Formats: sequence, C-alpha cells, structure tokens
Amino acid sequence: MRPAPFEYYAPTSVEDALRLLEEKEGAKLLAGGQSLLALMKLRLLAPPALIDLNRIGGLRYVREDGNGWISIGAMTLYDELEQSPLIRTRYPAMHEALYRLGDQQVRNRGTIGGSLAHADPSANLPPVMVALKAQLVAARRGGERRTIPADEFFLDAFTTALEPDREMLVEVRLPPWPPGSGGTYMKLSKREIDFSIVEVAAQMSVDGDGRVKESRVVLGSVATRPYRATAAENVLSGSVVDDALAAKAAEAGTKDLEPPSDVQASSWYRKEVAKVLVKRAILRAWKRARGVEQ
Amino acid sequence: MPQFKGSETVTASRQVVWDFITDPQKVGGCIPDLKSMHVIDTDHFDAEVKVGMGILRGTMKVKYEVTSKDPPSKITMKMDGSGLGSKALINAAVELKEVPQGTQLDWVADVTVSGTLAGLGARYLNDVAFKTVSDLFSCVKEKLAGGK
Amino acid sequence: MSKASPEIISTYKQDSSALTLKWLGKPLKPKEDYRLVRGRGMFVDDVQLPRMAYAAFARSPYAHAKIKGIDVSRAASVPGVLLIWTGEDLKKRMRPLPQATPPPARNAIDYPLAVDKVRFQGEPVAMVVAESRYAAEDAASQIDVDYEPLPVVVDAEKALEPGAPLVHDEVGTNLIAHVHYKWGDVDYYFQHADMVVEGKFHYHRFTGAPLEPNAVVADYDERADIMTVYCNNQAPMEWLPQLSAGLNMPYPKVRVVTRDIGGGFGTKLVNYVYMVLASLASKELRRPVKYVETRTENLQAAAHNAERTCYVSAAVQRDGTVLAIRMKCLDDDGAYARHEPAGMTVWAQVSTGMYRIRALENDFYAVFTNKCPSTSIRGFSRAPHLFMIERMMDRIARKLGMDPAEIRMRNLVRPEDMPYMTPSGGLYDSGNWPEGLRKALEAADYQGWRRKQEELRRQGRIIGIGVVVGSDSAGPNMAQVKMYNPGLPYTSGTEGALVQMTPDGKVRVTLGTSPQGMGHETTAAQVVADVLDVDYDDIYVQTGFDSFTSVYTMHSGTYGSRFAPLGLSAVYLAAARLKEKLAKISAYVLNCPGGDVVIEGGKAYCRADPQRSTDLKRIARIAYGNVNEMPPGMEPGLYSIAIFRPPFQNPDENKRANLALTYSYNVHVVVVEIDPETGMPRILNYVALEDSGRIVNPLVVDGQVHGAVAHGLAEALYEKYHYDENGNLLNSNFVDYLAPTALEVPSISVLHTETPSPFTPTGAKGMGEGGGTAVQAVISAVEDALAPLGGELEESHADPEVILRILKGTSS
Repeated sequence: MRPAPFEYYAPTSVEDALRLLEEKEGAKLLAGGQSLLALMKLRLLAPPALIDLNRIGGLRYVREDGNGWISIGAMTLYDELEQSPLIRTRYPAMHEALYRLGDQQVRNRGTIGGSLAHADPSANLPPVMVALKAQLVAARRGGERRTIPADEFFLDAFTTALEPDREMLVEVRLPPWPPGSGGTYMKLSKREIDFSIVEVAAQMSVDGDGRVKESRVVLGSVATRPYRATAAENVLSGSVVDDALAAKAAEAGTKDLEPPSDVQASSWYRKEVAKVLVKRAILRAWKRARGVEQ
Repeated sequence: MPQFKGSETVTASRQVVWDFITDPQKVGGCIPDLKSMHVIDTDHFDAEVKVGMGILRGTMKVKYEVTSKDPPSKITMKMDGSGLGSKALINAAVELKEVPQGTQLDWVADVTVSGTLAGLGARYLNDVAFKTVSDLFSCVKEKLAGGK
Repeated sequence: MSKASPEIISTYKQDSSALTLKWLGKPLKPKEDYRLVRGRGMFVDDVQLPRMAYAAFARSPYAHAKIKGIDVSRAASVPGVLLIWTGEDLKKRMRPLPQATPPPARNAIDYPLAVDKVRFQGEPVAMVVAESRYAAEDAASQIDVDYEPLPVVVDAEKALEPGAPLVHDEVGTNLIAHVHYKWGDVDYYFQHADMVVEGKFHYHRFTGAPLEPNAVVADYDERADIMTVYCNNQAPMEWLPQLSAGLNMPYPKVRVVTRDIGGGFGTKLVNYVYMVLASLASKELRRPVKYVETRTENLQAAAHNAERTCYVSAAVQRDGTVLAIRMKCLDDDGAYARHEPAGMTVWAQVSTGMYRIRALENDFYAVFTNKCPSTSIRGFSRAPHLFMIERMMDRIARKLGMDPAEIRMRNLVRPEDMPYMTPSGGLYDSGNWPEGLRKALEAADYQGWRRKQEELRRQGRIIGIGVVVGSDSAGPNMAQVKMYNPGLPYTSGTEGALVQMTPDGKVRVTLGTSPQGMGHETTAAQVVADVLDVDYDDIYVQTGFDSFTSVYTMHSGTYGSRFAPLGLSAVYLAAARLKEKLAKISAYVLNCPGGDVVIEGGKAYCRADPQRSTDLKRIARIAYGNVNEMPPGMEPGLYSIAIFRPPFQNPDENKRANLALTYSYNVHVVVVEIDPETGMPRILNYVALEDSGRIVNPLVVDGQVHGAVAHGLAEALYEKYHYDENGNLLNSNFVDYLAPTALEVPSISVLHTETPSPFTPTGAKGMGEGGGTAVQAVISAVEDALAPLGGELEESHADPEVILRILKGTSS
C-alpha cells in the first residue's frame, strides 16, 4: 500500500498548475485525492508526478451570481457543499447526492472538481450535474476559459472532455431552475458508504397544473458515463405525474439499458432496480416541484 | 469473460491483408497505446503497452506470439500481458475471406485476466478488453484502406 | 441424549468456595479501554527499533500456476534492498511447515513462500527486505516471475471428481481427510420416523476482517543470542515449536510477545508464516525486520472461513419431534491445511445443536481448492453446523405447518435434563433453554410481530421474523483433532496464570492468553479482586503474552472462547492459592486463635478478634523481606502459579467425547423488512438473549454480544468473498468486501439470563462467538419473509439480488 515513486509539485496558481501539467509528462492533478491516492497505493496508477492543487487560492467557494446562477469553485469540499444552504434549498438533488457520498472522512477531503474530472461512472455527482444542466469551466494557460455543458463533459469511464495535459476544471456553474422546480437524488447500495449499484438524479419543472414542462432523468452506475433517460423524459413531458405515469416513464427510460455486472450486482439486477429508482425519483421530484413534499 | 468477436471489411486483397497481419512491425503499429516494441522474429515480439481507460492507464509488458498460421486465410496468436499486479492473456484467431469489396477479416478473442485488475477492474474490464482488441483490427482496416 | 450420569458430573464439578462475589458481576470500567480510546494502544506496528528493516512480498496473480523461473535482478537493483528470498532460498533454510493432516494429505509440502508452484491468488512468491517499506514495495513490484498457468479448481465437490486439477500433486488427491461419524441408531429412526425432511445448504466464504492486519517485528539480538518476535498471533505457543525448529534455537532463546491486538476473530491463528519469515530474515541480516500486511493482502491471503456444503436429512415425527439427522458435508479448506482440517471435527462440540435429537450421522470431507487457506473464523465450524440444524428446523416447521418458535420449544433440551449428554458425548453444563426462548420471544413481542406481519402483508409490505437458538461451546478439548488424525499428540485444553502479590501489596497478573480486545485484563482483575478481596485498582494485569514471563502450556492462547472457562479458571486457582498463603502468614503474624483468619477488603483479621488486624501490604513486605516474621519453614515470596486442567477425555473408538467445557446459549429474534421492488432487507427489530453463566463484567459481555451480532449480520447480508472460475478473488479491498459500518448495524436489545456453570470455579462460561446465531437468525427472518412465495434460501448469505429473484420468481 505504498505508491511508486513520484515527483510532487505544489503550485500556487492555476497558471503554474497548467504549466506543470503541460511540462511534466504523465503528471496528474491532485485535488482531494480520495480516488487518486487509493489507486496509486494499489499501484494501479503510477504517475511520475503529482501536481497538488490544494495550495492554489480562490478555488473554494459557493456563490450566487447576479443572474441566478450558482458558481462553485472546483476545489470546494463535498462537506462544504453539503453544508451550503444555497445548495440545499436550490438543488436538493445535489444536496442528497452529497449527503450520501462516501463517509464523513471522504467528504472532508474530496472535492467537486476532483470527482467530476475523475469521471467514475459510479460517482454520485456526475448524474446530478447532467440533470441540473450544469456548465463546467475548463481553464487553459494564458487565462483562457472554456465552458462545457455537463451533457458533453462525460465521454466514457474515467474520460472527460477536458483536453489531456492542457486543461483543468476550475469551476462548476449551476443554472437557475424556474419556480415550480424540484429534484431528487436516489442511490441504491448495500452499505451507505458504497458506490451505488444504481443511482438516479431527477430534476423537473412543472406548470401551475402540475404538468411537466421540462425534466431530466439521469442514471449513474449503469453505463460508462451518466445515462440520460430521454425516453422517460419524453413520457413525462406535458403530463401530470402519478404512479402509473412514473412507472411508464421508468419502463421506457430503462428499456435500452445494458448495465455492467460486478461482484455487487448483475446486469439484470441493475436494470431491475434502475426501473424502480427512476420511478421513485420521478415521483419525488415531481412532488417537490409541486411543493407538496420536502 | 465472454468471447469477443468482430468483423471488418478491408478494401484490400487478401494477400495484402495477410502480409500486413503477419508482419510484426505492422501489427505492433496497430496496438493501441504502444509505448515500445522489440521484434524477436516474424512470429514473436515484446511490447510495452498502455492499457486502461481514460485517466486510468498503466503499462503492461506484452509478449506476442503467433501460435499457428494457415496462409493466406487463418492465423492464431497469443498476447501475454503482465503489469499492474495482474496478468492478461489474449488468445485471438483471425480468418480472412475474399469478398467483392476486398477482404473480410473475422476475429474472435478470448481474454483471461488474473490478479488485481480482475477484481478491482471487473466492472470495466469487458469494455476495456473489447475496445483494445477491436481498435487493433479497425486500425488494420484503416491502414489498408484502398490497398490492393 | 439424556441427563449425564452423576459420576461424570462429579468429575467435572468445580469448587468455587474462594469466591466472595464482591467484585464479580460489576460493570467495572474496563482496564484496557482508557489507553485504547486515546490511541495509546501498543500494537505491533507501534514497535520501532533502531536499524529496523521492512519486508514486502511479491504475490501470485494466479490461483494455480507453475513457477518456471523468478528473475529478481531488477528488484535487487532498487536502492535500499537488503535481501530477496524466493521459495528456493527458503527451502535451504527451513523444513516445510508441519502438517497435522493424516496421509496422504500429509505429503503436501508447505513453505511460507511458494516452491515450484502457486496454489492460490495472493500466495507469497518472494520476500524483499529493504531499508524502508517504500523500497521494499518498489522492489517487490519488480520481481519478474515466469508462470505457466494451470487448470484451477474452486469448488469442493468438483475438486473430488476424477480428473480434477490437483492442488498438491504429491498428495495425489484433493481430499484432505474424510471422517464418518455415527452416533446413535440413525438407521432405526429414519426407518420408523413419520417423515423425512431434506435440504442442501451452503455456508459461504468470508473472513474476520480485523482492524489491525497481521503484523510482526522479529528482532535478533546477536549478543544475547535471543530472538524476540513481537507478533499478533492469537496462540503464539502453538507455533513456538516451528519457530524454534526453523531458527535452530531452543525455546529459552526464542521470545514471542503479543501486546494489544486489534481484533483477531480467528484470522490471526495462522500468521505464523510471517513470524517464521521475519525471524529468519532478522537472523540473516542481524537487524530487526518488520512486516505489516496491507488490507488487500489481509483480505486476499490471510485467512478465510471454510465454505461448507451439507446435504441434510432429518427423521421427524408428525408432532414436530426431530429424532435423527443424517448429513454429508464438504469443507472447502483452500490451498493449504494450515489450521484445517480442524473444522471437520470442531462442529461436533454442538453435534445435535440445542435439541434432544437422538442420533446423528455425518459423512464429512475436507477438501483442497485453489483458494485462500481457511482457518477458524469466529464461530468456527460450529456456526456452519448450527446453521444447517437451524435451517432444517425452519423447513421442518413449514412442512408441518408449525410455528418456528414452537418446533424449537418442543425439541429443546429441558432444564431437568441438565447437565445433558449429547449422542456424541458432549456435556452441556447448565441452563434453562426453554425459559430463555420464552423470555426472548416476549421481549421481542414475537406474537405482536406475527400479527403485524399479516397486516402489513395485506398492504404489500414484506416482513420476516427469525427465531433461532444457538450455543457458544467454549473452552475446546484439543483431543478433538484425534478424530481426523489419531496420531496427533495433543490432548485436553489447559491454560496457565500467574498471580503475584508484589512487596508493595499490589497484585501482578500474567496470563497465558493473547487477548485481541476481549477485556482479559479487566475480567482477570475482577476474578483476582473477588478471590483476594482486594481493590480492583490495585490489580495490574500484564498486557498480552510474553513467553519469557507468562505462564503457559502448549494450548495457551485466545481462541475457541476459552478465556472465561479455562483462562479465568487458572486465574481463580492461582488467586485462591495465594489467598491461602496470605491467610497462613497473616494468621501467624497476628497470632490468631486456631490460625483462623479472615482476608477481607485488603486486610486480614482474626475471626475471633477482628481488632487484631493488618493490611496485606505489611504481609507482602514480610513475605519478601522480613522473612523471619513468616511461619517457620514457609517458603518466602507471594508467587502463585496455576495451570487449569479440565477433566477432558480423548474421543473413544466411536469418536464420542465432550469437546468443550462450557456451553453458553443465546436466542436471537430478528424482524426484517424487505423492499418488494429491490429485494433490499432492513432490520426492524433485534433482540439477543444471552446466558453465558456467571457474568464477570456485564460491559464486556454486552460488548461481545454486540460484536457477535454485528459480525453475524455482516456475514448474512454484507460480507462474502467472490471467486471467479479462474480463482481470481474479485473483492479484496473494503470497497468491494463490504464490512458493515456503524450505519448498517441496528440497535440491539441485549437480555441476559445467568445460569452459572457448575464446571468452572467462577461459574463463567465462554462466549462471544455467538455461535453464528446472528447469521442464522437473519437468514431465518429473510426466509420467513419469502416463505409465502415458496422461497427458500440455500446459503448463509442473502444478497438482495437473490431475494429479488425469489420475489420475481426468476432464477439466475
């Protein structure tokens, strides 16, 4: 459980970090280290250099912008986000995903940027980002910034749209959802601290009659990237949600899934419970959007 | 692990495809993320290959060996990889058929993984294994596109 | 299968007249906890010595492969590397580890580093010792081994089929041992019973997952020519002969030391392979050598529970009376018999469970496979066996339309039959088991839950209730090994203790045991305080075991729940003898009429004249220094050594023997709810009733009950090893091997009844393994929930997926 030898750099600016990333071949960025260090200790990863981002100021914040957007610094800790009243009230789906993320020790060290850039297909936050229509801001040298919609950010398992060795994630931006919106995150796992067997983030907005104006239903752990159940969203669109409709949407939204098998669950089980979780998440998100459930 | 299969139609003659896939330099050039290789003879080479997905990549040493040849239509090979506290064994068979567009290349591969990766990587192993092998053969197709 | 004869009872009966019952039973603050909760424990990894070097291992990625060659040249060039050994190097330095198996399995050649071939994934192939742990691991990862993979066998039944791959070629078969047990007229009962009920069950593979992994520091002192081995072995005396032989040093030159141990649960009985390796390396390098396992190494290669598959049939009367049981069992012991095949006899401690079953037959096979070697994980061998019996009880109840609590009540051993002799010669010491069952059912509101179960079922909710009785047989009779290998020179089950009053009037105690968190310092101090009637705070119990200072026998150690029945009995005897000597000296010093003196509250006084008194401190000073004040001719000093020897017999020609000294019992009632859509179970109510004889310290006992329930719950719902067909262990870290956390363990209502054992001087019984009762209770509850759908569970692990398949009526 000792990593292979590596060089260690602790830059104090994003610019320096990006310069090192470009110069040091095979270097990895170290944020909270909750995945990276474990993989290095198992010697599944042996990067020749680590670039520690923890000394860079100005990457830890949650703030509301004038236009209703919320911006989150990439080095903001899970725990800080979980405690944020802004996140809890505006994005209950994200609050729930954070609350159910690992254990307190992990939440004390892990960062939102680290998790998203790592792009573990079972991580809690990626489906939430897609459901909330988050925008991810990548930095390049020379102060250049590029905004990537969450939909386009996660490409494959452990693979993102960030350009290798040239870009790093610096900010997450969450758009305002209109009044009459609600969302939830649900995760099925054997132990509370586990990566999910299946997870779902659902977010929707409804009109005064409870008809769904817009919805996003996104699953994790069922594919190599967050899986948007567009067929479920189509079923919901324009309708008032009840048990039967939620079940129908869940059926449609999970029909084409071909989830992976591992020691915790077979593909069959993942697909079965994906249907259940999607149904439950739709119902709760809708009730929240209607304001009838917290 | 399941048996992986694939098929490519190459717009080149069977002899051209055959010459390509029996040339270690050329086959080596089609191994995804090849770091280095050392040819021993026509049927053997050693290589260092980066394997994995996305940011999870590590180096494996691969011993390549042609285990049977039936020119110009059938070849079987063995790739014996070790690294990352693990072993990966790929036994592949390639069959070449003449078709109007050129040559049809059918491949099957059995992959066995032992060690750390078999446990920790189980969920993604199928994807990685399939991608690695299918990338190799689609590379053959691309490199020979238009050849006679 | 009836009340034991008065002759047998009288041989077992113990004198407990030295107890004052002033200190026993009190919830005194555990002596160990203060240092442990402050992070001031003394674990092996806390040992830091000058010039210490560090070991790491290269391990096999294959479950079965020929070693064609090992190239250590890259590893040797890593800066800081001091030594690299392969199996071949080891072969020149030591003999193979001794085999307790009968022939032909005895021919298996077992070295701590693989020789010629590897037999399970994670088996050590080479050891590196270097200046730092980093350098050692860097070098270990650069050892190039040329393997030729061999066919793998991971299933015990397949391993016995002709043509199966051989784990040990030199054995010629994968059979470790075969024993046929037959007690009572099984055939008669099966011929005459109203019905026969059958089942096949599988007890799955898991481990103890202690917080502290295996660890050792071996320190060879060249000047004194003494090897000190700091280890966390649960029974270091069991392995001293191997160490002594391997090092070619006599026992007085080999010092084995344990201090605090971070949990063992049986896994730390077999870590002697590291003790041997580190010692040999330390002697070679003339430097201390430390090795601490990683979590992956611990989960992959330390010690697993033997999987057991049983085919069981029961001869049953229509009224629910179970007459006889017939079984065929196979234990999958993995690649080496390092502690096994003990499991093929240890179950016989509780052969007929808690019931008046008249006859029992078991055709038992222990088998090699290409998996991690198994050892005695908590509830060793008895838990799997009781699982088979309790599962059968549930099946029989359903067949007869009886309530599962009712069928148990009908068959339980009755209080008037205590001490009860089982058909296999087991001697159940005491208890009122039907009363325990009644109390537990009442505390759990069993009838209320049954009604609620019906109501909730109508609302679509799935509730299951499990009721299980179990026994913690404790203080093993080591002669049980003779049942598979009659030639083994190993009998009875003894333990030692030293109780010394030091010249300042304080009391020093050393134990033969190696506790791993069971509170031995606390309970030993309570027994000494109780017997001597001195203050608990004046008693100092040495932490752990030290072969240079502790009193030991070759049975010494902490396993098989043996401390309360055997260890505390030795402590009692030593304290009682010391008290006699104190009384004699005091009577003489005080000149009491008739020599009649009372020792009480740290003082001695004449019974006839309580004014003539002295504190014991003065007596202590006299005994060590002012010895001319002592009675003439009496030996000075206040040392008292005792070895407790239970009246155990060897098994007779029919393999009948009492195999444990005490039999605690427990009743668990658990209510689970199952999510009908996901199959996820959730515990709604958990009641555990425990009778462990006289309670020495209720805090310690409750802690053990909590631990046993958590462990059982873990096995039933969370922890299970998965091997693929190539022998890859698929979950060898805590991401995938799901040891539960505090969030998974429900609140547990612990109840007690207290029936002192007549067979120990303190009346205390061994406990803490829980007999696997929690596993059985949870599985029983899940099955109870699924029963209306015709669902039956074969395994001791209920995965939500298995449950959902039953709910959906689909097979895998």
